[in-house]
Amino acid sequence: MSMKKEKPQGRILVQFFPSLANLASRGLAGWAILIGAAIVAVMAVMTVVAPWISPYNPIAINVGPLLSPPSSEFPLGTNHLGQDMLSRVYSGGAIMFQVAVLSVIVCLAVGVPIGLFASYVGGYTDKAASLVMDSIYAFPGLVLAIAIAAMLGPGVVNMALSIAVVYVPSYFRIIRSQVLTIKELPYVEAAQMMGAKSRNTLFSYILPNVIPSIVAIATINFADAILTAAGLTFVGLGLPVSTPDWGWDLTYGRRLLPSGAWWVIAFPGLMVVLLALGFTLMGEGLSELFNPRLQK
Amino acid sequence: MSLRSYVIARVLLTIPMIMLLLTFVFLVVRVLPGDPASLHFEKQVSPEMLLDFKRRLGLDKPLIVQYFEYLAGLLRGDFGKSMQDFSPVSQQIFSAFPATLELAIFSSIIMVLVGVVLGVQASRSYNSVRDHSIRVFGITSYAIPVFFLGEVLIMIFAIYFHLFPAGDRIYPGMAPTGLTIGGLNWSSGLYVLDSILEGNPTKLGVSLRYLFLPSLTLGTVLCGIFIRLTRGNMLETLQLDFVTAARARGLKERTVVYGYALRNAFLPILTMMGLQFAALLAGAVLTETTFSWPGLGRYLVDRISFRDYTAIQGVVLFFGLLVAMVSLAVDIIYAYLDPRIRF
Amino acid sequence: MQGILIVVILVVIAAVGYYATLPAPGPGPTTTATTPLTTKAGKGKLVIDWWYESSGHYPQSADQAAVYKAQLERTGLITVNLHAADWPSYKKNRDAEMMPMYVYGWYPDYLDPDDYIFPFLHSQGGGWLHMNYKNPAMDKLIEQARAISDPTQRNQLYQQIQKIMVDDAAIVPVFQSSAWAVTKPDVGGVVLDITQNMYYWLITPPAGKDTLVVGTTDSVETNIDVAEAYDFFGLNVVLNTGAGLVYIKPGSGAGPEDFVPGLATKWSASADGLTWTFDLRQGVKFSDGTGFDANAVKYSFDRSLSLYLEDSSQAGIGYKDIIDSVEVTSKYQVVFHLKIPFAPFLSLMAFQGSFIVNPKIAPKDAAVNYVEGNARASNPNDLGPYLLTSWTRKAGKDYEMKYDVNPNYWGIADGYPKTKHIVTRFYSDATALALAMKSGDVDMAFRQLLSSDIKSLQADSTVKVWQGTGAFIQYICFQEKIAPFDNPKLRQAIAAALNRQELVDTVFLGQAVPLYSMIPNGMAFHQDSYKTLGDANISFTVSVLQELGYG
Repeated sequence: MSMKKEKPQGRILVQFFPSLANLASRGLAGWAILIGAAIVAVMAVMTVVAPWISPYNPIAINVGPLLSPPSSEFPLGTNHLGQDMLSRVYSGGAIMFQVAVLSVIVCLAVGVPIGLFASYVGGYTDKAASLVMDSIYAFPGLVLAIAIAAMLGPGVVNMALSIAVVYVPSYFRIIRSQVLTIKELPYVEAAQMMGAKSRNTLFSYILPNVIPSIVAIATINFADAILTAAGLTFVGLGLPVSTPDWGWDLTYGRRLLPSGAWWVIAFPGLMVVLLALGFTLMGEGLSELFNPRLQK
Repeated sequence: MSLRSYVIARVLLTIPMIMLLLTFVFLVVRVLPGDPASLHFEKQVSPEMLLDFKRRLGLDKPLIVQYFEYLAGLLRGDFGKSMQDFSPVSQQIFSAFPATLELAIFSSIIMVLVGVVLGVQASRSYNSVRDHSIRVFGITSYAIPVFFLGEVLIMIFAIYFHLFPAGDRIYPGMAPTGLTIGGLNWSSGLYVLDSILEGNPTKLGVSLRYLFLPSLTLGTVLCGIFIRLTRGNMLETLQLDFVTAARARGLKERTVVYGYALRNAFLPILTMMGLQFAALLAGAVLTETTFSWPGLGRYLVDRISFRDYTAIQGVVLFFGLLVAMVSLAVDIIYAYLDPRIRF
Repeated sequence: MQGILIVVILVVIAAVGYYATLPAPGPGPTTTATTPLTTKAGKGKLVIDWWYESSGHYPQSADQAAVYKAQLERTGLITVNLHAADWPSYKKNRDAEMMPMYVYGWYPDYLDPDDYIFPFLHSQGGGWLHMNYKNPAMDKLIEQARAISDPTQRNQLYQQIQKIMVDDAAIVPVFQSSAWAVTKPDVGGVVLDITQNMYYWLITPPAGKDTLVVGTTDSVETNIDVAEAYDFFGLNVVLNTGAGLVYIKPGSGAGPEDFVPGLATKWSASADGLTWTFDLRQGVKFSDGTGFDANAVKYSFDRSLSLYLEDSSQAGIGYKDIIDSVEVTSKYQVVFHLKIPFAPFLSLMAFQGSFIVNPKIAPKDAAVNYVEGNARASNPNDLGPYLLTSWTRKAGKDYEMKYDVNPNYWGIADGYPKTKHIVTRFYSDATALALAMKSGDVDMAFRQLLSSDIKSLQADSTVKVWQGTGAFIQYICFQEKIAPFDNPKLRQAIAAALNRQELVDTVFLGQAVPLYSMIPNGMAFHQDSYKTLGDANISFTVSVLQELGYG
């Protein structure tokens, strides 16, 4: 029976649940998390309730005059197909959330086990895994994502997969550096000497200590996933046009700029910035909180 | 481990990485749906013609043969011929690279300049409103999609105010020709350098005007990390004894800050630049597309649309080599200065 | 601090609660309320997986797809699932025959109704589209129509062909785009006719200048060798630097009377249509001073036919199936012996694939490709109004091309070319080109601009917008291997639900024209055949679909 150490779990509990309200008292980091979380929450809610609050079907064409500027009838204007931009802004984030969440799940499912296992076991497994991960990590991420997205074709899952491939190495590295540090800690060594099995050590000691870093990097991963998804759409690897998508509005809005229609690109762009900002604030705040000197 | 063996070990490690990358790209492009042969035919083509054309491109040979032929070519320094226009890929890469390099250089200048200056400002007014707003700016700028920022800048400065051009690198006729001595001409492909070598201030001005918006875009998006790095470093260093001592000796605050403390931050900034290099290249892809900048990023995106296998492989390999060299350089510098790092 | 957090959470909950209690919005103004009959054990709605090309190969294809979807779903009995594929994937899908419905485009090789019928409705000619459409009766009619030269007889045949086209509904033409060019206000002589040619030599430059700067987003895809060039832009370069035996009169409707002399001054065909004789213009010289004569003509054709490169226009159109041999009967007379009587033969001779090359520059056994830094060696075309004096590429893309007057051009006596120097600048996309036109960087912009750009340029008094008949058409294909699209009645039903005018107005802002036959508007023998099915004929669609069990 493994000795349940209060320490690792306790560290997390103290920092998570009872003291959300204490966040604000933890200075800038706390504020960052609060504000970031609030932004994300608001946008998530907006996306969820979009079907109810949208004045028009976001993909219905010709609901208004083509390419008309913001007016009382269409507060954010209409685009070149006569689609209402307000409705599109409400629903365009759904895809972003889906892609981001999916890619984070894949990263967690793939990067965490590999990171834990390889670094704990060490030796050639560790060297081989590090080699592969370093190769991927060192490569310009967007180019890799483009190649994989082009290979898999358009679609939410495919986009998420291409983004996940690019970010798995980040998880791997963070976890590896944490595991290598924790492995050396005295109480872990003590536990092993007292006969704790490897699996138990991994789960009871190492994993709980690694979780804070995972949370921090997952949050930043959300932000990056959103930006990369927008980037992939920009180079033409996005979803079919029947899904309302901020990324598509950004891409198309660009072509409408010479004719003076700034509203098609401006509002969705602002939304993307806000959403990415929300996640980034959360992520930065969390990394400061859990480890003030957490290096990327 | 001695420095020398570290360097050798590191270099040797790079080789499998490059091989892995090469093989990966080689396979991935061939898995992409569609093929370069059928793309040459806008309209009708008979199956026999298509097969003949595939033979012309060398695509009828077994995969393994294609792979080893490509490797053999690489060892000779031959990146192969484009499957789109049959020109040598190396020629096209070397034609496109200076544009990306120039963009990367000037973006780095802005990135580091803005990052360091703001970081120093933030550290000197620790926990003030200025400090907080600078830190928020650093985080926000990273959250902006680079092409959105580019479009906003184009909208404001190019379309509305007509201050800067909306895209492209230069207009034909204004391209600097570099150094010409006697009958010999040498140009680096970097327009700023070439116009200086040519001694033509008009061209220098035009080159810089075209460079400004793209570099500003890419530099702004990536400066956040340098703000944080500089600020963190400065905060630490400014507490140290020798700084207090320098202040006590009555040295001007500015000398203390820039002379001593910043010098300490220099190395981490340098290594961070190296680490950010890959991010710079990735960002360049989107920036080049936004500003119609004729660099490697745009070349790659175009060639992916055409499934030009040799060109895609060439660019990816080139990128990989670049990143590997830069990170090698960074690692070596680091290892030279900090013996603990060497394995 | 805790208080603020609690307030935030409460507000969020309140907002969610409020909006959750709002009724869901009703159907928008674009859906019509149709009550499908539920008497039959319905198959449910007809589900169409509709593919569109997403990398910009066709103009605004994503927008078109959105409109098609909306139009078909108005029937209440169709669900359209859109799928995007970039051009290479799209082509692969086409060849794999896995797309039930897909949109394609076409611009003509030679200007004859045959070029709009044979590659689509003939079982062999249309093989490249992989629709698996085969109607032997239709095949026969098409083969007859391309062999006979008598216009009255051909007219009758094409009437029948177009009627069967609608009965079978294998392919549905949707629109024909207009041709556009934008210039500075004092530029003149821009002719946009159905050939889609850009006749540089007719254009007059801006006042006080002798150079015209043209901006474009096109580029040369392979090279500008007559024996291989098959892309729009490459062929345009051939048009302006090379010469053919005959030309279609610029600005005409490309009818049988509209052929004018080029390198040939007189021509005639034998009664059986198998022999064509051309008398050649005398005193014409190549750029190096060599005289042009019948041997050059024979050389050019022999070369194209023996090279017969896979991606050439000759192979694509099937020159070898038409031309048997070329014979030099005298210094300035050449005779073509044909394998089959080919009514559009003169159109074929006016096409750039039939232009004459300079034998000294174009080797018999290889195509002439782009040579870095040497425009002369990159261009085997020699007899036209202009000489290509400079051609630069950067990073694998065309960067700039320069043309100067050809001192040996036979038209100089008549005052052509009107502009002494042309410079072509290449832009990466429509947006960049539109901005360049607006800021005055170029004197003329030709291909491609977005509809919104053209619309805003039309309102701009600092530029002049030219419009002409287009020859580019877009159409919808059905994959007859996939049920239920093998049923002509179903195909007709789908075709009837489309609203071409709405598509043209919404996506192209009126800058294209609805098309009701594969033969474009303005061309001989055209009939608005698809009008019998109607536009937005929802009741017809619904009744057919219900008959077939949908609902």
